[in-house]
Amino acid sequence: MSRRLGRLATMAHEWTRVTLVLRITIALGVAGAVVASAVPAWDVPDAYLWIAVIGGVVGVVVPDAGGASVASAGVVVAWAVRGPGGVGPAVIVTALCLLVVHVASALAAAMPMSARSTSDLLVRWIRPTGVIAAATVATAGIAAAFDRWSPPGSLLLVLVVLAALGGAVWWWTD
Amino acid sequence: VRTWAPTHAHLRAAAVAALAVVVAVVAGRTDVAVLAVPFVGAAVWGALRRPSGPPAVGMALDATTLFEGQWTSARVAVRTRTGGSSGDVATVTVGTTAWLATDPRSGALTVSSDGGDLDVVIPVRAVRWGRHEVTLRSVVCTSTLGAYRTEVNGQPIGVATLPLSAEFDAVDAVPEPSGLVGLHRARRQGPGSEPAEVRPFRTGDRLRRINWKVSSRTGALHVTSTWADQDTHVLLLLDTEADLGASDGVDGRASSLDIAVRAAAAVGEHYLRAGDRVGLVDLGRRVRDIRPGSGRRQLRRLLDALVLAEASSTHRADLVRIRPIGADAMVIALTPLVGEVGRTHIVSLAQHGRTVVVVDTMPDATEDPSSPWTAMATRVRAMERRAEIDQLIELGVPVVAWHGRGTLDQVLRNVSRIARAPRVR
Repeated sequence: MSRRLGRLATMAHEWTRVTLVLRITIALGVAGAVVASAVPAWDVPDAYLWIAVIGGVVGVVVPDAGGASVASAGVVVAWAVRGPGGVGPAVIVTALCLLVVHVASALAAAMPMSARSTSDLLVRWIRPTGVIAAATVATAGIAAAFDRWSPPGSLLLVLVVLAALGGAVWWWTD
Repeated sequence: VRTWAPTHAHLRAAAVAALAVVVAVVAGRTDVAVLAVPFVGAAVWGALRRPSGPPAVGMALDATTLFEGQWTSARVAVRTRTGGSSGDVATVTVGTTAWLATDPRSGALTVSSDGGDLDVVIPVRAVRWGRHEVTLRSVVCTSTLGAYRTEVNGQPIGVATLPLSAEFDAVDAVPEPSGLVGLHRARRQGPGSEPAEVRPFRTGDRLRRINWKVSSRTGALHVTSTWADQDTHVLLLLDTEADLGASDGVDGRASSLDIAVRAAAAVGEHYLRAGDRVGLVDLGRRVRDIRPGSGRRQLRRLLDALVLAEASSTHRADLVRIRPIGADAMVIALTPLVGEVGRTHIVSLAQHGRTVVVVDTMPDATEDPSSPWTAMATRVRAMERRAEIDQLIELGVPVVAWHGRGTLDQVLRNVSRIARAPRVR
């Protein structure tokens, strides 16, 4: 037992600051998504959020596995099952938190815990993340406007906006 | 070499985006559609930035022969000239066998990349003598937003760490100098650099040896004679029957084998620099015997052989026959004096009239015994060993503990004085 603890302590000693920051970011992202999903005054089934929390814990420990996927899917399903239906601040916060979880997991999965790296790596994907975050907020605004206007087929309009977003990203990255 | 493959992150983005879009369409929920936006964006962005081919990687070491404690650099080159890409983030991992250390300790370094060529340098330090390997374990390149990844592996490179960290120096006294090219003062006069006496000129003396001051004062030709410079044959007897004590490399504790190998290297270097002929015999037979020789190449031959030394329980040291050596040879035995075989060889050589000096390589006991019985057994064994050392000393074999520079000074003075004393036959 003491040998295992000693080995764990040795491993912990080798963890680098960047990888720790990324894992803390994943944890905070999952926590933010779960809280933003639970705070609105409606009855979210606890099971989905617990699944999201467990997935988040796995995602923190092993980013290059399905933990973050389970956490993200759990939050989406929780919204789908008992969500209030409208687009409000909670949806935007949840979406942005899921984006942070996704990007931080992807970067954490690219390096082992003990890899030395410079802190500028933390902002390596800040531009695509910022563009996607802006697109998310813009889409939420359009969806909220459609909800208030309530034209027939408003969901289809949102999906058209999503397709336009894909095209914009294509254009941006070329 | 693997091609660029989608990662968990890319699959997550695609799967969660698909799930959210389907749920949004089926349930007619715009809020769920908003949740799909980050994943749609990440999946599309990552897919559009998929690199075309894997990069070519290679690793080279600045030096493949090191001394203990010395640093070198493992230079990893990631090249994209073949149409490949190094992605957005590259993690280079260099692995080593035991007794080599990297900085960072994990050997893993993550750097950002612009998709082009990369050069990563990872320092490597030789901690202990021996033959080791440095391997380019992997170069993992990850594309934008972690969507695609490729892993390329490299080949191991051998590193020889020479055991030449111990400092050694000894007095210029060997018992039986006999050759022609060394730096030791012979017992007879002849060509050399150390003045012996001023004596009357004799037929055959060189004119440049004439001492004009004495000659003019005395009115007869006098010459300054010198002691001849000679070399000797030093045989290093390496006892690898057992390796006692813990070894922490060049910065920590030294085992008996560490001490023996480092001492053999230091003594060998000292005498080779003095122009002597040095040979090596390994009682464990892991190291091949090195015939006596002199010069820098002999030193390299000696060190290359010593890095292979290891204690082996299956050795056949009892069958080792030491090649006949000259009567004037000096044998320096490096042994922890715990086995029968090494002591037998030492006694045999001494009884055949060879000059034998034993360097005791037993390390100092630093660990407390785990139980009273262990302490008792250790004491009994130490007393037995002390008795065996006393027997050797009675045979005329000096035993000294290794402590680096000057270890053999007193012993060499004593054996030289004994060798020069007149003998009654």
